[in-house]
Amino acid sequence: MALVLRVGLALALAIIFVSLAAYVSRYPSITPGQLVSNNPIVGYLTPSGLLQGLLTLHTEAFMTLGVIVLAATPVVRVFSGMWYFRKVGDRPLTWLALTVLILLLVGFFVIGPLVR
Amino acid sequence: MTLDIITFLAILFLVAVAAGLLGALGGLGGGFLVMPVLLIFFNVPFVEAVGASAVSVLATSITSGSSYVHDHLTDIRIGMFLEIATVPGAFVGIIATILLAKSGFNSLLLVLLGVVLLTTLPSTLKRLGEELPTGQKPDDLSRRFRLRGSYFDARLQRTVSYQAEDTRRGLGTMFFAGIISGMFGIGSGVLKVLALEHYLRLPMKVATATSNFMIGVTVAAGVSVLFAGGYINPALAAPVALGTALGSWGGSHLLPKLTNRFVRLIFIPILVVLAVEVILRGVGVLH
Repeated sequence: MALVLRVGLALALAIIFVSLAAYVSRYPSITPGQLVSNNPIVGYLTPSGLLQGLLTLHTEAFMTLGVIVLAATPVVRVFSGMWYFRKVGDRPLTWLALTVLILLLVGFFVIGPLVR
Repeated sequence: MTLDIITFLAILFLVAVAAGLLGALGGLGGGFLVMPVLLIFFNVPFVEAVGASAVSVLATSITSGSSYVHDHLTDIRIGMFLEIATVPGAFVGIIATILLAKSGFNSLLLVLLGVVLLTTLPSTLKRLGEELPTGQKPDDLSRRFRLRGSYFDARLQRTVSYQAEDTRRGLGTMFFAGIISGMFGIGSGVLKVLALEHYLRLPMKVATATSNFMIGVTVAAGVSVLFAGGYINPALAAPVALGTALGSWGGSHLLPKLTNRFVRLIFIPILVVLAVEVILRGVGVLH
């Protein structure tokens, strides 16, 4: 499990770092003010937008992917916890872990778009 | 003078390294100083600062969490049970911050952030001992969900067993910790450890490691909402997350050599100055 966490973190930070470097080299004249006020990933927040951006090698889409990998890393830990509790026949904890997973998905797919 | 983009990102990274280092040495986690630093020195809008801070807390939590997993100190069972309270709390906190920011209450948010930073000081000053809790009386929820465990304590050279008690008060405190975490993009580790140690009466090492696991899940919930809402700017979050994770890693290796004296002399004055500055900005004395 420690390996999953380390690999997830390293992968996410590597994707974000490389795509950020590519973004800056693509737009070298962008000012810090423009960078702060314009979020480069806004067009890639839907699954179809993200997929299209990745297929067309848009650096912003890869930045988005990096954030998703980072946020998903602790979720993998919850999922593996649920898997373990189910395996040992611990029903109350399996349901608790499933509830936490559902809450995390509700945050991403329901609450996030609502507050956009 | 206007900075070019490379210099801006490099400064952001170096400041995040310093914040991560100081935060880890102060025992409050790497992301604790990131929020006021982004607001004061980089004029980042409040909600975007929360997003960048949350990403850095997430990176820091994963960095230190992997070593706790290795030591078998994290009680996933108790952590999962309490996440039922912290995750909804984080959603409430994030929604509150976004609504307040959209309604023009940025000043109130700044004052609240300053107050939250200052209220963590007493627990930072009071270094918790390593005495093991005795005579625990588990309540019905603790028995039903079998919220108990054991670990081998290398320092004591024996296996330590424990069972949680007063889970309802623990759940209430965790819900509040989730709100604070969601509102300000911080881990709220102080509140989480308080609930785990004082209400559930877990051994300190288990409380710290389980709190770290919970911070990861709570902040991941916050990051997913902020991300889907379009409030996470990776161009800001990337150097901050990289820098804070690196600084925290360095801090955790320096910690055994410096500890309390460093905390008293350097970390607390910096935290006080940043907290007072965000409060003064909130009430309009500074701009």
